Order: sequence, then structure tokens, then C-alpha cells
Amino acid sequence: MLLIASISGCDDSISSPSGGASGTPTQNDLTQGQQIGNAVSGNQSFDHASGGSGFGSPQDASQFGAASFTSDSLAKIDTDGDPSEQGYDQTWNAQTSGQIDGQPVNSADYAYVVMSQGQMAASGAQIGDWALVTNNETGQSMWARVEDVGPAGGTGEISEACATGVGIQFQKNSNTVGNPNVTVQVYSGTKSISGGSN
Amino acid sequence: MRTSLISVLATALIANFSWAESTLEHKEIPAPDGAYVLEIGAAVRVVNSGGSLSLTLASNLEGVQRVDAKWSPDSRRVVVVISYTRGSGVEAAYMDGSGWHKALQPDTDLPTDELSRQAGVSGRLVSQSCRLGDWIDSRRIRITGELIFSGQKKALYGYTLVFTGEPGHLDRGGFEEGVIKGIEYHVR
Repeated sequence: MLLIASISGCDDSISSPSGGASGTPTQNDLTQGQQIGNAVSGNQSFDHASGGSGFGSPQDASQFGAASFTSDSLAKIDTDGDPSEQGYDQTWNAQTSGQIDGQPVNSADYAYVVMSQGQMAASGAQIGDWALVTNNETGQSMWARVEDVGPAGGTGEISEACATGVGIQFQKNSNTVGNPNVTVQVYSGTKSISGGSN
Repeated sequence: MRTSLISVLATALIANFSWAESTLEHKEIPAPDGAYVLEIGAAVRVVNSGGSLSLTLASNLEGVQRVDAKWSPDSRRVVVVISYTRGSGVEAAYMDGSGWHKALQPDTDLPTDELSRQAGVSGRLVSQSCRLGDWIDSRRIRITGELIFSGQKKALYGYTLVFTGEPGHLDRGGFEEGVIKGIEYHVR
């Protein structure tokens, strides 16, 4: 029944990516975004984190302890798994590493983050583990899950639903509006903890 | 009736929200001397010839598309590349006097910016993959790779993975870091 509550609590109000002609990241910005993020000390507070679209928020985040992986870097939008992005985003991929019912995890519907294989191995994280994503400019935060695996050294890749949830605007081609910076904290061993609505 | 309907619905939802298991084909790669085997299936494990577990390199292969592995000529090391759709990572198992250990090549080894500069490509790094080449000797193996940036711009690269012989530090995932290291990175 908790699962039913969780699913019925899904945010159906996620809108299509917002457009915007200005603020497209420069080449320099994108290059910076590929660098390893700087570790940040301490943990962001769980208190004001909103429930992640689709997954909700973990039922008892207080038992998570310290994050096993933290990055602080330029946000990049991963549109993988969202069929509506085909033809718009040069980086689009139909598949995500995680699946739900044998299907890719739709970036527009689910708040997820991307890790590299090396980051997952080094931190003990697995696909499905919970992550807290914080917009460093506004302080907005949201729960997400690790659902895609990207290139070595990549940081700050988040789904469309996650970006929307923390107040980051982006274009249909996945370029962000402005140069938003996010902190991603991943909690290994939390995959089995159910999500629920706030 | 209502209760049973809810029960059926809950079961269906549980099924829907379960995460996929790995569908990799089971492989067994024996060491040259036959004393150990690398098993690739639901996990990546080193087992002895009697089938007893010696080391688990990766316990969860959900989402993994391919696992490649090559034993060193002296059968004391095995290097494994674990590849997802958009990214690969290099791990290794090695044996010393105290038994088997597992090591990880950290992401920070890969000089993405320098390789992309040398290749004359730029943009957002979309995917990265690598493949095992030949062993040079029992401590060094060649690896080739590919970086793909937005717009399908590619940088092909190669390097040598070395077992440094130096003590590593243990990360949270239980891997020793610093034991294997990439050197002589170059654009192909």
C-alpha cells in the first residue's frame, strides 16, 4: 500500500522543458562542467528537500548517515529515456542504465542522477540508490535516485524532472539556462528504501 | 473483492517498481595456469579451481552492457573492463602473499581535457568507452578507448595500465586505489 501511496503521489505537473533563447552555456562553461567536481564538506540538510518526481522521497532519510559520494559542479541535463527528446538533444539516448518494468527511466518523469562506473565502484553506490540534489544558487533540493551511468569523471548530470524540481530551467536541446551549479550527494546501500510522497 | 483487487494491484506495482537484474551471458575465463577462474554472470567473481569464492569484484551488474577481462601471463592478475551504454570503468584483481585484492582505476586518471585538446574536439562529453589490448608483461596491459562529445565528435585514445606495486588506499567500495594506474595516454 505504501507503494500505491508513493505512486499516486507522483508529480504529474512536470511540464515540458521550458524554452529560452538567452543564457545558453558557452563552450567554456561546458568544458568546466566536465571536470571533476570539488568535494563539499558536510551534508545538506534533509529538512527542506522535496520529493523526487516519480520516486517520491525516501521514507526515513535520517538513517542514511553521511553521503558516500558528493560532487559540486555545473549542472548538465540528461534527457535519456525521454522519447520526446529524440531529435532535439544531440546527446540523447533512448536507454538509461536503470530500468523500471524493463523500460528506460524517463528523464521527464523521474528525478534521477548520473554517476560513472568508477564513482559507483569507489563509493559502493548502485543503480537505485537515493541521492539528494541541491541547486547551489537557490538552495532548492530534491530527492532522486541513481538511474544512469555516464562517462568517467562526469558530474552534475541530472534528469529533466530533477532539474525542474530544483528550479533549473533548460532548453529542449538540453542546454541549461544560465550556468546553474548543483551539489549531488549519493547514499550507498539505500536502494531498497521505498519512496513516498511528502 | 475490493481487498483482492487492491492486493493484485499492489503486486503489479511491486513488479513494476522492481529494478532489472543483469542479463549478461554467463562466462568463465580461466587463468593461464588453471588455478583460478573469473566468473561473469550476476556478479564478477574470482573462484578457485574447486569453485570456492576467492574475491567478488562486482556484485551488481544491473545496466551493464559488457564485461571484458584478461588474465596476466603469470595468472596473478586479471583486469576487467565493465561497460555501460555511456561509460566504462577499469577494475582489477591481483594476488599477493596475503591473498586476493581488488583494485580500481579512479576516474581522475583519465586526462579528458588533454586528450580532447590533442584530438582537436570539444563540447560536452557524452560517452566514454574502453577495451583491453594485449599484456606487455605481467604488470602492464594496453588499453584503448574512445571519448564521444556532443555532435558525435570523437577522440580515440590509448594508454598503458600498470600495476604500480605501491600500497593503495582503500575506498568506500572496498577497492584499493593507487595500485593500478594509467600512463602514457595518447591520442590514436
